[in-house]
Amino acid sequence: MSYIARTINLTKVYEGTEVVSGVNMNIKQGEIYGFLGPNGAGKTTLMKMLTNLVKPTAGEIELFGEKLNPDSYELLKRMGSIIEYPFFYDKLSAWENLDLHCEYMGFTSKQMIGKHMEMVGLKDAGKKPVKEFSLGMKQRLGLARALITTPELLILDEPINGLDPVGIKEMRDLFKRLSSEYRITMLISSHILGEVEQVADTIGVIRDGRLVEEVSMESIRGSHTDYIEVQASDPKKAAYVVEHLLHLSNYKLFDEKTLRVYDPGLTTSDLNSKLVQHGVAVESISKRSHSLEEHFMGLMKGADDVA
Amino acid sequence: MTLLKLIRLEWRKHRFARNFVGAGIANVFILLFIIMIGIIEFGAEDYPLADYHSAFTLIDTFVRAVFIIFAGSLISKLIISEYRDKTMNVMFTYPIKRHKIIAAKLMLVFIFTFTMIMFTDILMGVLLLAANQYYGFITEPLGSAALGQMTLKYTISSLSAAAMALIPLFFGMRKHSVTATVVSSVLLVFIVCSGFGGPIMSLNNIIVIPLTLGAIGLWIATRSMTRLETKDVN
Repeated sequence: MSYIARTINLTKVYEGTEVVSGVNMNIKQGEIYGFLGPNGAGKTTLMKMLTNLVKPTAGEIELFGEKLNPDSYELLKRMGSIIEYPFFYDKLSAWENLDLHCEYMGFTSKQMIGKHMEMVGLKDAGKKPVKEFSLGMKQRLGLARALITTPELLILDEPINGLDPVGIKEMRDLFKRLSSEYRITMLISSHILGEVEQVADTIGVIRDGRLVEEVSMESIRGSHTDYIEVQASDPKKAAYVVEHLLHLSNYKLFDEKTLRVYDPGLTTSDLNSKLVQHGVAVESISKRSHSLEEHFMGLMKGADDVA
Repeated sequence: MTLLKLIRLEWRKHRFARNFVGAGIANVFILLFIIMIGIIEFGAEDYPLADYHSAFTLIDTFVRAVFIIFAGSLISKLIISEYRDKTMNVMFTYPIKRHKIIAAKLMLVFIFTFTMIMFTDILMGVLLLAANQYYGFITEPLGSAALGQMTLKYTISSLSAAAMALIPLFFGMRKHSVTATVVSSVLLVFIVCSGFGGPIMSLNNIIVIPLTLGAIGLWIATRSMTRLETKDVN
């Protein structure tokens, strides 16, 4: 398994504050890496370091197996990116902007310009100056620009910002296609979990500059699904029953009334009858799905009481 | 990516050809101004068009003033506004050395400014000579030595003016402000081009001053190229 991009202890300090702190990120070739984190967590700064816009204070970046130096300009040719927001020469048209981009990247297949404009739905943009584009159109043009040079790595900073639901779905489908058909590796940042969990293969969660978790979606989906939630007046007693009489250790106590048991094999009726048998006053018992949202929200907020 | 190719792309990107229209208008403006001075000040004791030396100096001073300010606006358009509009962020993700990107822009401004100052100086000089045939306000004969000297003076003056015109880059980059750039170019003009219309003893005649300012302009340009190579883009 080769890594398209890796950061080793990457750190960035701005005026005494560590905005990015010892991040070890690993992006596998061909995957979609969802980069989650609240606003201000350091996502954009990290992406700027990957694209040579910002120089790290400490640590290393490895791209395509090579170390990224301040003068590693050739590596930049293999990447496409939208950082913060797609910026264009407003007085020029979409076509002219893309043409200039190709020139600067040293990309000569100009016929791809029309093709890409069509792919992102801007075929009818014509000679309109970008100044007159809506946010959604600019976002799509930004994507066309990032893709036109057939990059191996695509870095997208909150790409669905400002898109309507139709646009979001189109974008999602496009990402999946790019990954499966064209084998492009993507790093997509967002603070919208719902979107990321639908496309990502691996999710990295960043909070206050630190990468708090980096995990594949497969493993999460497997281990964090169903649980049984019990509301009882004496949950500790219920916990005792679960531990010593059912011999299950995968449970957690919440506040003063709730117990959650994470064993996939356990049925609600079994648990209920065991608890009642041993005198636990069960107020309510139900099977729940621990959504990924809870898991990640917990990570992003820093709560430790999530299994 | 050669410097020449980069300059050509800058030309396209900013529709640079339109600046010739602006320069043309500036020429007309300069011409009218000189005519106006020629008519209004006629008979005055320090009539600026009384001899070739003061006439050419008047022309040169005014032309430099106009094109140094013009250069200030070019620097705003080519450099400052790209930072402000964040298209510079995109430029720096390209596989091109940053200092080359900046160098191409500065070269374009420098060459344009120098060429336009020389061109306008010579054009105005020719028009002056032609007008003199009819109106004869300058009575001294025009020797070829004097003419040669004038051309040399114009060339040095134009080169140093084009170089010092880069000084506003320093002020504009502090705040990524178009206003700061243009205002500093206007202030620069007040320092080096004052005194025309009156005594032709502008600071520019003390040869050390334009040369020093020109050197400062070039130093600022070089410094910006090296500094921006490693500066973070935010």
